[in-house]
Amino acid sequence: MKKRKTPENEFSCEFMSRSVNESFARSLISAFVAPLDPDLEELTDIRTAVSEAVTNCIVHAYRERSGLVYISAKLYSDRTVVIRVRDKGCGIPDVKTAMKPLYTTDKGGERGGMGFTIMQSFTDRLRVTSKEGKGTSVTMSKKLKDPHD
Amino acid sequence: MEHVISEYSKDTLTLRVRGEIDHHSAKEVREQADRAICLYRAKEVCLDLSKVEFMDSSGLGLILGRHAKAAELGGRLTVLNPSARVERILTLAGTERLIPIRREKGGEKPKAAKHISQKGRL
Repeated sequence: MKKRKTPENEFSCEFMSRSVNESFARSLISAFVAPLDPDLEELTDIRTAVSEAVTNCIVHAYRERSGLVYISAKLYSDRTVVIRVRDKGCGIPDVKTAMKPLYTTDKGGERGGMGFTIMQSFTDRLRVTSKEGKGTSVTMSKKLKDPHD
Repeated sequence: MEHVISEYSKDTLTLRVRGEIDHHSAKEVREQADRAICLYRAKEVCLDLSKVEFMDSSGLGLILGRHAKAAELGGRLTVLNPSARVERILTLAGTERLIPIRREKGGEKPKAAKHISQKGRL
């Protein structure tokens, strides 16, 4: 992702990898982008993408154990929001394979394997970096429409 | 919390799901839905999603799982009245090949997106 100018606003937060915090993360990002007056579709896109990224940390990165999920977001003057969701969990051995639609390591459960596909479809850009045993970082960006256009 | 309201009539079980479906809530929705599916063993199982305010891929897994559960007991699952948002996720995963979607009267697709501030929310 190319280097951007200084953001107009930013936040960062960390929370425990508990599933109850999935809705907390959605509320957090909604509140952060609210001043930009996004339309309902854009807002739901962002909320869904964040929900997927955070759920991945809880379900896959930390699995049965507890850890911290780090979320940060930056807002730029051209109405682009860049969101980063990071964990210090198990990491993904093969990111390319993990990002394929319907791919899941959760064979016994009811995970659909569509998390990364949804993140990709609902944002403009998605970048995933991971190191086994160290953790995963997901960066998503989305440019919001101007409500006055 | 009650996430699923079940109604049974003429060999059709309707499961009305409400609220947000994410990984956190999916477990309870799954348990409540499966209890009703196993109890009624209906030929037609309808999953009404008109009152679902948010759904991510956990909801997708939930729907596919209920499709499998209904089929296991000789039934067939239909998704009723999903919002345009939910339908987009279903389309992305290609579930329509397995699970039909039906719209009841009054369950039309929501109108074009409006800006939140215009609706007085947030």
